[in-house]
Amino acid sequence: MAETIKRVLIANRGEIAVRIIRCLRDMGLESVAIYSEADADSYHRKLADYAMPLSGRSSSETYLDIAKILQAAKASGVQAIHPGYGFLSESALFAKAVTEAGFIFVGPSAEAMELMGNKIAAKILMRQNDVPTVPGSEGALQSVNDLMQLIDQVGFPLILKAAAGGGGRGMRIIESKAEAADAFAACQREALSYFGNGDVFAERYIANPRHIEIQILCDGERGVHLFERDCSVQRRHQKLIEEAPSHYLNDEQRRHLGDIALRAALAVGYQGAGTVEFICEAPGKAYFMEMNTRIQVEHPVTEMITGVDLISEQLRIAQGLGLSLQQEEIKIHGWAIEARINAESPEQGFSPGPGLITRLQLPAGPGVRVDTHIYEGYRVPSEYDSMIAKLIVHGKDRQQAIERLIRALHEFEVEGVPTTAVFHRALADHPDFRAANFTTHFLAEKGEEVLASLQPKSADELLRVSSLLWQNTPQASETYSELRDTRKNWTLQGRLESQNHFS
Amino acid sequence: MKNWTIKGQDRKLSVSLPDRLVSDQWLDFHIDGKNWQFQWNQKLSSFFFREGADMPEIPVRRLNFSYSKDRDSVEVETDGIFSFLHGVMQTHYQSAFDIPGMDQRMASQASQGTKLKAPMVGKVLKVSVTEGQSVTRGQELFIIEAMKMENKIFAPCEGVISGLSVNAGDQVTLGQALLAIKAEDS
Repeated sequence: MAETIKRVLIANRGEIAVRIIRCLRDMGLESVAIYSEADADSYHRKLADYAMPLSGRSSSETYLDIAKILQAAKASGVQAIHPGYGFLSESALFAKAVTEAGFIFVGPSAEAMELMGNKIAAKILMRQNDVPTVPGSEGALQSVNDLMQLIDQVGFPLILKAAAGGGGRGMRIIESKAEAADAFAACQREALSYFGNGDVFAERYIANPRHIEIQILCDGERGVHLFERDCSVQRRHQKLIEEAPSHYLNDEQRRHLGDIALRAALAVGYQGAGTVEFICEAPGKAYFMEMNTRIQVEHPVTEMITGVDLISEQLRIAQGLGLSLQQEEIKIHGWAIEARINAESPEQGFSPGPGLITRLQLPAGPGVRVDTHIYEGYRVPSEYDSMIAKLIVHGKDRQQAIERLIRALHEFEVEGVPTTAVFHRALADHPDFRAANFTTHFLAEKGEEVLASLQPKSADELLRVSSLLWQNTPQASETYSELRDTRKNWTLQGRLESQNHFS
Repeated sequence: MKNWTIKGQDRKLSVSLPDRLVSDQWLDFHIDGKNWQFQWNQKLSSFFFREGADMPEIPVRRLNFSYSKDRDSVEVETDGIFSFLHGVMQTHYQSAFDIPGMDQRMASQASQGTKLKAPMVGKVLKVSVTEGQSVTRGQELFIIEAMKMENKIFAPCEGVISGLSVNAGDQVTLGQALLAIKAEDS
């Protein structure tokens, strides 16, 4: 029972709104943008076939306001609403409201979203469907005996957590049976005093986790997976760099994880594009973490290696046309890496810096894709998140992709707002990143090292020359050290050190 | 308000526009007597049209647009009414747009007996007329090579060539005076 979509409202903003508008245009469909008062100069307003203003500036008054969005959908005569990511994309309430108002929601059913949205219920459902979850106690541990039994099943290391806890408090890692009893008692005491609830549960402690996720497409009946993305490079649980495929998995592990992800999705009768996230302690040991019931920020890396346009597949499934792809048709071509470019200052603890973009030069060339909504003269509003662009590169293998990433980041020139582009460049060039030797702790452990390497390698030579030039100017009172302080604002465009200019 | 006529291939519309363009504000105008609104967004370099508040806006980005010499009507060969409108807006509010070469093109297309200025930077490949020659509107005057293309420059009006100041092979800059066309009887 196919329902024809001719016009789609995009309940989002920024680069993803632009991305969806482009896809709709490729498909010959019409797009309707919505925009807040803070986004009147935003590119998606201009790019869409139609635009609808929403009163207010904040997210809650606009992109999170279900009533206003539905009103805009009615006034603009759309058949479907695409939620993008973030905002209302994982709101079962929104999905329900959209469907009840007579529109197609481009995403899974509200029921599937609800099931996957409840972390505990989802975990139980996954276990019932043979999807591995982190081994641990089913609920609260009643006694030390329970804990000892669990140790026999799960082994070490184990982490004890307060059931009512959070933020690292009331947690204990145990490595041997000898410390188990004391740790259990201490954890119970802490749980009681911090959270007023002495319930403690235990699960395997994954010391060096990799974050690996599987992209899936399902039509409710069957599904295909589009391999994995490795999103281990994170900063405070925010993904910075994503790549596909993962260096961590071999083909067999890849296939195996794909099958598990499909089992997880079909357990809730999933329809549309989704991502099953795993925490991996070893290549063959992956545990279900959660399912994201929407398109993800990092979806382009999968598109680059598979050649599948995920947004158009979403729209196809939303129309009830069924899945067109067969698993055998989906192959990995080369390697793709995405760097999220945020208007943040890496040197100042990644503090966001909204403002006017006074100059913009975007990278291009072989294997480079930039998904963005910014332009020269655009003011990055302070109301929304700081991501201003996604730089996606593709190469024949991981090494070429890294070289292209560094090259493209080199070309990425933004003036007026701080960006994380330079940080990404240093990150991509870090020996551990080049060797794909990282876990989710990578930036917590090596972040300082990356920051320190932000300085160009031949900075000292450069400075020596610059300061000589400087001394010939009227501002010669500036000292070498003052100049040194400002050197972080400058970077070598060429490869000075290789040309022996200073030898 | 000023009235404009848009002549398309198979239709004609009458449009009346307010005299002043205010960026980022909705302004009322009329198409065939029907109320519409438009907004000029300078940052996006786009017009937005709508039938009224709460109605979908239709964005039209700035186009390179040429308009006819009598500046009360616009002839375009396109079927999009909004492209038409955009052209009218651009003509009507031309001072609000800093379009490179606009002044020169304006000058070159102004009424009879005016000076013709180079509409682009380039090299004169051919001068097709001579001093004192009578020309008709639309007659070829020059060929200027720019960006590896030969661009024919036509007479914007009829008259007699005077003050021809360039030769084949000359490099011309934007807005440089090329010649004047004077009315026959003057």
